[in-house]
Amino acid sequence: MRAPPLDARVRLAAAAAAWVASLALLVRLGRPRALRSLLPPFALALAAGTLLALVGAGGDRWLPAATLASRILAAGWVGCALVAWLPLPELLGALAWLRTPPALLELVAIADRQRHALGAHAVAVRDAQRLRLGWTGLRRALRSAGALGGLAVWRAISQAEIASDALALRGARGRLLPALEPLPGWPNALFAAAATVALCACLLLPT
Amino acid sequence: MARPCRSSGAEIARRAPVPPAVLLAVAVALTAAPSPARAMHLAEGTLPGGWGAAWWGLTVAALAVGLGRLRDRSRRDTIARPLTGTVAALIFVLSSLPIPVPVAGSSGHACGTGLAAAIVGPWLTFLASFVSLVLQALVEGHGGVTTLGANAVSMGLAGAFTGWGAFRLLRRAGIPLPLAGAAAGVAADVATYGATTLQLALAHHGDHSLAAAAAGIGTAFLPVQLPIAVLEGALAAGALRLLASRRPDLLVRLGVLAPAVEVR
Repeated sequence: MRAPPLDARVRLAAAAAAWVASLALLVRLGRPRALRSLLPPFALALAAGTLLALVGAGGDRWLPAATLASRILAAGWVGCALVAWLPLPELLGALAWLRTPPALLELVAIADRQRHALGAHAVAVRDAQRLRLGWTGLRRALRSAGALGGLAVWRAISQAEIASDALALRGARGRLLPALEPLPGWPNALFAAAATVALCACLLLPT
Repeated sequence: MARPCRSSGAEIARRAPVPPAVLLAVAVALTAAPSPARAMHLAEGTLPGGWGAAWWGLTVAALAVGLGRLRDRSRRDTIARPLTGTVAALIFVLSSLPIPVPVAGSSGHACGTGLAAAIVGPWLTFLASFVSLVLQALVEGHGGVTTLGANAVSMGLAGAFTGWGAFRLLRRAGIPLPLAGAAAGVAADVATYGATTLQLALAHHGDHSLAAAAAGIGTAFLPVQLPIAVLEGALAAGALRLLASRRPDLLVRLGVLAPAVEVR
């Protein structure tokens, strides 16, 4: 026999509490970039809640709408807080301690390094195409998209070849271990654990 | 023990004429439109915990297979690991780069899984997609940690395998490289959004049938995703054409082209 479902007001209050707690954390951190990243979850939650409230029929539509919006907002903002608090190198160190496969960490570390070079290259190509009116009209836009993709792939494979050749020259045949930061301190670890628990709590709230 | 039915069918229909999943999809599409760099993935909180865990389980199993494939390939060719990492960076960059879409009057972004699958195969593309999603979730705050499994399944499994299948099938049928690449790009994009539609429908169809919810969500996604699918196809076709004409040796090394075969 299943337990009766939790009262919707309790669920709404729990989601709102997680939401306020994550917002308070981010404000306390005072990172402008992290605060800007709150906008997409807010927009999504607002849109979903408003649509559910307006289009859904029946007298009790406001509570499910508010619960759904709060859950998206709470989960999104807790995630933002986690991103703001834990830098990627420290996170990789923590994941290594948790016995995450080294190959996976290695891939994350390589991708994190390469994305800056590839991103700058792709943006430069796109801006050059824009300057030459490469995105005006359908045919030109499709051709420009192809050239952009081709140049980005070319650069990616070249970077991989360079890394592979460098490894071969040094006689390396095994793993390419990422330079891992030391394990995060206990305040960060505590925060990560609390954020994970809050995230799980948000997600266990049914709409 | 049987549970008493608390609402009649008529009352259920009166209370919820539109599946919540459709509303969620409309909301995703609406919020995605002005900020295309965040449009690709299910955001944190859009899936209930049970579904998030189920998709994570599937992703972990696929990761085990993918890492095994990577280990085997690394023994044969030292480029495998750096290549998978840079392909992950490539997917990250393409997913974050807004490019103008003249037909839609706004901008969109490609995901690059079809192109990646044609170049490095589906399992390495899955790994690259997963790594790219991890970076987007943990560095940029796009997507989410709890929805990472669902996003990896839609983009890395459905997208990569469908794109790779379309590419291999057409190449075996003798279709030229750019056309096969275009088909891979379109197929991967459509499969990605098909899987996302199914994931939302499964989680949120409520009292409505799964088919009705999926049809509604698919319709909501269509205006945003159709131009992006075309863009994805053009990107893959142009990329393969450029590489085949300027650096065919790269495609030969990766097994996309046979050595000393003229590119049609």
